Amino acid sequence: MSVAVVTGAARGIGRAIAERLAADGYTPLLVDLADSVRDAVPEGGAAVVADVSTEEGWGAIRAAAESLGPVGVLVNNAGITRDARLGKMTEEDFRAVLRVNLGSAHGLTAALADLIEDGGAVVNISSRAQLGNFGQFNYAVSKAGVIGLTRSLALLHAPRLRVNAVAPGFVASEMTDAMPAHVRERVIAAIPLARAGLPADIAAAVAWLASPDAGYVTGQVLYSCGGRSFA
Amino acid sequence: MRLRVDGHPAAAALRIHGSADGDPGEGLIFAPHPEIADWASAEEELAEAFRLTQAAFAAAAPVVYLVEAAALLGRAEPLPSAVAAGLLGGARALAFEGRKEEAFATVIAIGAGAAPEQVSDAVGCAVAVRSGNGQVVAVGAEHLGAMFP
Repeated sequence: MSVAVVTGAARGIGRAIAERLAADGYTPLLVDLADSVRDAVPEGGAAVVADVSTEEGWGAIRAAAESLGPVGVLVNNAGITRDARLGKMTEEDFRAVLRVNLGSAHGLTAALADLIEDGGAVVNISSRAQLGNFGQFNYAVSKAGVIGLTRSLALLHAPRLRVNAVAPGFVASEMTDAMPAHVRERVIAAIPLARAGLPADIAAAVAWLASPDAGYVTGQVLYSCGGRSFA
Repeated sequence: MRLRVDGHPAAAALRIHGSADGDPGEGLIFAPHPEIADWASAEEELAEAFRLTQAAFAAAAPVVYLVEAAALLGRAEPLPSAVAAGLLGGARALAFEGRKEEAFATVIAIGAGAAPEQVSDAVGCAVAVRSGNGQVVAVGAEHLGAMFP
């Protein structure tokens, strides 16, 4: 069985992606900075605690992947937010978001590309927020950067590998569950499909892009946002 | 306006709009360095864009990012493409966040062979008319038949 490397997999979208790819027959390798990632490993999988924004982390992930077998898919999901109005945003917060959300995708893909078997896939997680969102200048730069990276990598690795991105919209999480009810209602009212996304929705999009069914798709962005990206 | 266009082919033509020591509070024209060889360089370019953009935004001044159309399309090395697309995300975010204050940020994607004067005119037009707010304005023909992010 091929290995699916999923970063940011301790909880939420990343955990759902790992579970879905495991169900699809991959051996999941879950990666996260949090020790709790070890509790999220599906049967037959493995975990590595690593900082995806450092060379040391890439080395640890590569070593773990090599011990499991050929890599079929790499999912660069790890991401953070440090929201603030542009006038209040610190350079430290700008750089931190950039390093984790964009730098890690670039560095880890470069570190693992030769381990990915022919016909394999890379799926990067972008965001609908890169189209413009309040208080997320740093996040928008990083997630739009992921799209530029995705396109370039798609050309770089073609025809051996496919590289695509998923751009989630508003997805139910501990953070969104903590929003004031009236704010949450306003957000959902603007979504054509009239609901928050679920981690499983994003996992399904990733699973499709990783699968042979998407065998003619590369360099693309799949918005899983309930229609909010254009409505 | 502040010009941060080191090494850009249109640098001389852009001087009618500002200078390297101009006040970003009067506006910003930013082009990433033509050579971005590693992540550290990419991060520094985007951090510089952030600092100068923050100053322009505070003064409600226009922001123009100049990128290569090829990079924005993904037809360049990974980091230059990431930086070009990242600047597009920044322009979108700035325009969105500052819409009540009528903030303006655009990306001019320059195709190969575009004349420096064309680039300068495109900047002047965009700032004067505020066209392409939070969007890409293309100069040249490189993007034809393809799709920007």
